[in-house]
Amino acid sequence: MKRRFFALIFAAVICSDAFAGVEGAGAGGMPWWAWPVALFVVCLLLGVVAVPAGVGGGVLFVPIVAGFFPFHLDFVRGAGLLVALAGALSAGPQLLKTGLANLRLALAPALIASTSSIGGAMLGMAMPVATVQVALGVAILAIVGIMVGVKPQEGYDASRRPDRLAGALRLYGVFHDRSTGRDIEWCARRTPLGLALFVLVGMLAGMFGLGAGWANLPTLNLVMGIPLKVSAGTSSFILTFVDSSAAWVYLNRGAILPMVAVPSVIGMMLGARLGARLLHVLPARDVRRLVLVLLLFAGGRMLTKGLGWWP
Amino acid sequence: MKINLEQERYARFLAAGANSGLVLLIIAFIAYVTGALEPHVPLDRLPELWGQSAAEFSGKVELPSGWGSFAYIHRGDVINVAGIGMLAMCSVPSLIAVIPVFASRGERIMPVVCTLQIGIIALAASGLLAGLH
Repeated sequence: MKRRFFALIFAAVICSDAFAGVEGAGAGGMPWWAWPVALFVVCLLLGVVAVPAGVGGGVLFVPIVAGFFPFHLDFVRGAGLLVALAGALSAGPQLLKTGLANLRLALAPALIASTSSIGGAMLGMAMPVATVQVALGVAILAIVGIMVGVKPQEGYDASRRPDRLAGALRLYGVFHDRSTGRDIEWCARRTPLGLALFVLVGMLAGMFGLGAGWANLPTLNLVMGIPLKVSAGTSSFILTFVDSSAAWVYLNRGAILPMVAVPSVIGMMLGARLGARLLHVLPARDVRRLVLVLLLFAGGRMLTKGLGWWP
Repeated sequence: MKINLEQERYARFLAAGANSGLVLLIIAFIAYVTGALEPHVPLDRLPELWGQSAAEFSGKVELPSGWGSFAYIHRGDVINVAGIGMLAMCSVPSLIAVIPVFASRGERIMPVVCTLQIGIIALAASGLLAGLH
């Protein structure tokens, strides 16, 4: 059952590449609706695995769809931002109500990252496609490295004091962990460094349309010392600002095509809901491995596409 | 667990904006693909165009990008873009809603941060940056 499920996901991705290579596939070899339907199915499957793997939809969507579908990278990046934005908007209210996301903690990093995401989006739209493909391939392979090599910090040292900037911004609070029934007092540290890193996070999010959850989480958790669950929730919530700003740049440049963006958003959101329900059935470790392999494959595909080795 | 008033209010506004935006987007998309709203770019022409860059695409279909496309809002594809714009704007009412809560406590920094964030989203949405390269 497990093997069939994983084989299905791989087959969906590989098949889309095979069809993309068919003569006339982009011009009339297939009916117009075949690609949006294929996109919906692939996004549904990506949504299913994204939740148990603990990654956002955008980071899976952009390299896989850009690598294996016939759409221009401009439209894929625009849709990638919307996939990440729609997911973050859907989850945001619940994360805020349960205290898993912290509004006060999110606002300053979000302001910095959303400002730089505009610069990143403008830069990404101005760069030659091959350069963006190579940079995206490198970024995806680096993300795989982060996912494999960087372990989140589970424990929390409650004796710490907030730094001066965290004190001024009041970046501290109490988080009630439902799984343990404990109240955890937390405060931010190394806030200037953390905020500086959000400049880079926003740039990359805007440039590649990746969302930024993969970078927000380690920045909040490992650099600023926020407890893991608050970091995860706040990281997702920050995307509602970062991706909104960058998405407007893509919208104003005509780089959002509804026929690419809407099936992707709906597929990914339905898949994520399905993934959340299957959370107890799907083996998280195997799913995470599958996602890592998919990302490696898609990152390698982007790199070779950009270098002209595998057009 | 007790949640701050500003966080609770923000969540309520965000939920309303996100849910209505998504519902509108889905309705607009159904109207688009079923032909209930005629698209500016015929659906069967899309496969020959979606492999081209956004700039080439806009030029070939003779559709102004950004706010210029508002004149074509009655078209199925353009109204979808408007729905997407709504989603990308729905943090703004939530931010406006929490500024008075922060201010009523005598806080100075957070209202400024919220106002700057609104300004950044508004600047990105305005299209003023679209002409810069």
